[in-house]
Amino acid sequence: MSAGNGNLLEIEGLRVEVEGRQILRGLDLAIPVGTTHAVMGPNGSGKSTLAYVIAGREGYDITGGSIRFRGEDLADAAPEERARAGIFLAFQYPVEIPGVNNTYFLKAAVNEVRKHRDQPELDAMDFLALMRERVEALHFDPELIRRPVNEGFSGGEKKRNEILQMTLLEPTLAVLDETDSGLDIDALKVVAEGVNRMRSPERSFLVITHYQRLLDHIVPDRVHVLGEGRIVESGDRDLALRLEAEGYRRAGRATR
Amino acid sequence: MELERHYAAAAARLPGAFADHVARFFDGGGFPTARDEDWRHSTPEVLTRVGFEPFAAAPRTAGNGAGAAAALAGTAARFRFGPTELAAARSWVNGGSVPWPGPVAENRESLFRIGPLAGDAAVDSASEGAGAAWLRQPLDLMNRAFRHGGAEVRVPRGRDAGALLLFSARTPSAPRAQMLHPRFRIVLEPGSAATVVEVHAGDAGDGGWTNPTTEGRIGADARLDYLRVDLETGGIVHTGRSTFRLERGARLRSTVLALGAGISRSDASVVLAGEGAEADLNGLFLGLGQGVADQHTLAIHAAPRAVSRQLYKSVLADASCAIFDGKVVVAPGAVGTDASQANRNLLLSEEARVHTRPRLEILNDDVKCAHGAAIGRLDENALFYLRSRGLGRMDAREMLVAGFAGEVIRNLPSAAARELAESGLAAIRATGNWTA
Ligand SMILES: Nc1ncnc2c1ncn2[C@@H]1O[C@H](COP(=O)(O)OP(=O)(O)O)[C@@H](O)[C@H]1O
Ligand SMILES: [Mg+2]
Repeated sequence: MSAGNGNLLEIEGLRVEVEGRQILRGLDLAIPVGTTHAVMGPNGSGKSTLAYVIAGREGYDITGGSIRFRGEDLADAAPEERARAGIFLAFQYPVEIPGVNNTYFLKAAVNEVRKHRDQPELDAMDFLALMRERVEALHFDPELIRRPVNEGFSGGEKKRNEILQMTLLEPTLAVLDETDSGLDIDALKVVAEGVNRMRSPERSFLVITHYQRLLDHIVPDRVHVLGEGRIVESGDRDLALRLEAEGYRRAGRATR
Repeated sequence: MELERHYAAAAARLPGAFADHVARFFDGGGFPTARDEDWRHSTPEVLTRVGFEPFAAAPRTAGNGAGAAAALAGTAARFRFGPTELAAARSWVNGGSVPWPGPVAENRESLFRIGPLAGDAAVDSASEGAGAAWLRQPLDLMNRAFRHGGAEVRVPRGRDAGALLLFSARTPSAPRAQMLHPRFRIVLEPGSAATVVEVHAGDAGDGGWTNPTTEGRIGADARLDYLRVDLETGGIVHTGRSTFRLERGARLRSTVLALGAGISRSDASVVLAGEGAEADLNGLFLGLGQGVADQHTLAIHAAPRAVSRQLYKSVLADASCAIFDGKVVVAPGAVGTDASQANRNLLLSEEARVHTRPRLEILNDDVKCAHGAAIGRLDENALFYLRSRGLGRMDAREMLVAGFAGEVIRNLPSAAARELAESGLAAIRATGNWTA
């Protein structure tokens, strides 16, 4: 499952440029298999850039360092190859896809990843049964799975749709980029329960958030603070509480 | 001058042709040129390179008999209508009537009448009265002159005719490029309903011209779902038009599906003549090769509180070209008008081209009018989103293209037509060399 050292994801000295601008400047992060890590940081510190570069977005150029998933370097892997290998990104801003039916899309995606994981593809009946179960567990409005992907969804509905996709695709590494933003407290709890149900010794989570509120519900094993393109401080979950009280400005002082 | 002599002589040789219309056509200016406002960006010169021959006047080609039946069966096979989907079907090859080879439901005859079009005097004109000046379509005169093959469909008061098919096919021209002018009239009496699917299909080999006209009247509270499919390939120039006049509370959904790889110009016009009439004008062009679709719409609001909605979409591969010229005209008395118009184009190759021109003529101020045009490539954000869920690059692109076209395809009035459009998408997929 993982590299010899037990890390599912290993990022070393990662430097990333977007449109010629250096955004990540030597970022180190190791996530052991079966653990949940949180990354916090002010707006513009590079959190989404980190999420995108893990998922393989074009235009996010790695100019130094490496990302390894299960011990293998990801630099040349296409986004779909990463997804099939078990990486999932819950987008901060999920994309609306007019004309593409949500159920149709999800079935195609689920069968694509199943095919590459040597699992049998699901027929329409089996898929709908699975979908129904996951939709109920997330208190997702069943009407929304019949609509085009994310089109006309409220902010909260989009975020729930991301988590629904995660529960269907059953990744080994899930990166959640500010999944809490736009959610009211009830929705936040439902989403957190969905994540917590999936936590297992084989699966890791990278939870990106701006506020520590989410971490009351998804309790992380480690918390990292991102500032100006690198991890400036790491600690246990008390670090998140301290950041909440003190703000980001003081983070990393001790280590810099 | 030479062309005028050619067509006058052709009309004189053709029994049943109406030569005065040839004279009227040339007196009114004759064939369009690229200088005509209404043909800008298009290639009207393809209509004047040769003088086309009417089929019946040419040496015997596959107008009748086994050859025609085989030619029809070939194209008809692309439409898989269910065994009871069609209440009636009429088909022609090169303007000659040939029985429809597919299944047709039984015992529906009391719901409609289909017969030949009567003489010239009986040519109904939806284009007279309100909005007549806007509806001037010179090439219709050539259709009137040479019309050959065609029908009148009439649905009696209060009846629901179900789906009727009008299928005009042609075989490769020989020895000269030939022309075909089918003419249809659709009359829905008050409170009646029908779906009419009109297909123009065939391959012209070394060139040809198809110039169909459909005119219709939709009576008070009647409902027509009208689909015209252009499936012509092989150097055929297609110039087709439909004009419907809607009475009080009548409803029309008109869809033009252009799948041919040739040059096609279509005009979908509607006169909202009765209060509260409602029309949807939809179009979809799936462009391949050097295919050109020049799609024009015209919604004339001549009565109060009528609604018109236009949605024309193009998916353009290879060096295909889409032109959209959409008009909304609101007459002074048409208070409470609600009109919208959208033209959206998806470019899949660097060579593909789009020209779009929405035009509004509003002559009163109690009007709700919305219009917009968009030209774009596949959305990178959406592509990444789909790929991040495990879908391959090509699958993700296809899903976006199908989603884009789906907005029109979903609303096609027949499963067979939806299937045909899907096969058009498959042809686009096969071009593969998408740059976006
Ligand atoms: N596509 C892009 N093009 C140019 N700059 C970008 C792009 N994406 C992000 N950036 C810049 O990179 C920096 C980090 O952004 P981001 O990773 O979105 O931060 P966060 O998610 O922490 O708010 C910001 O300064 C942002 O403006
Ligand atoms: Mg962000």
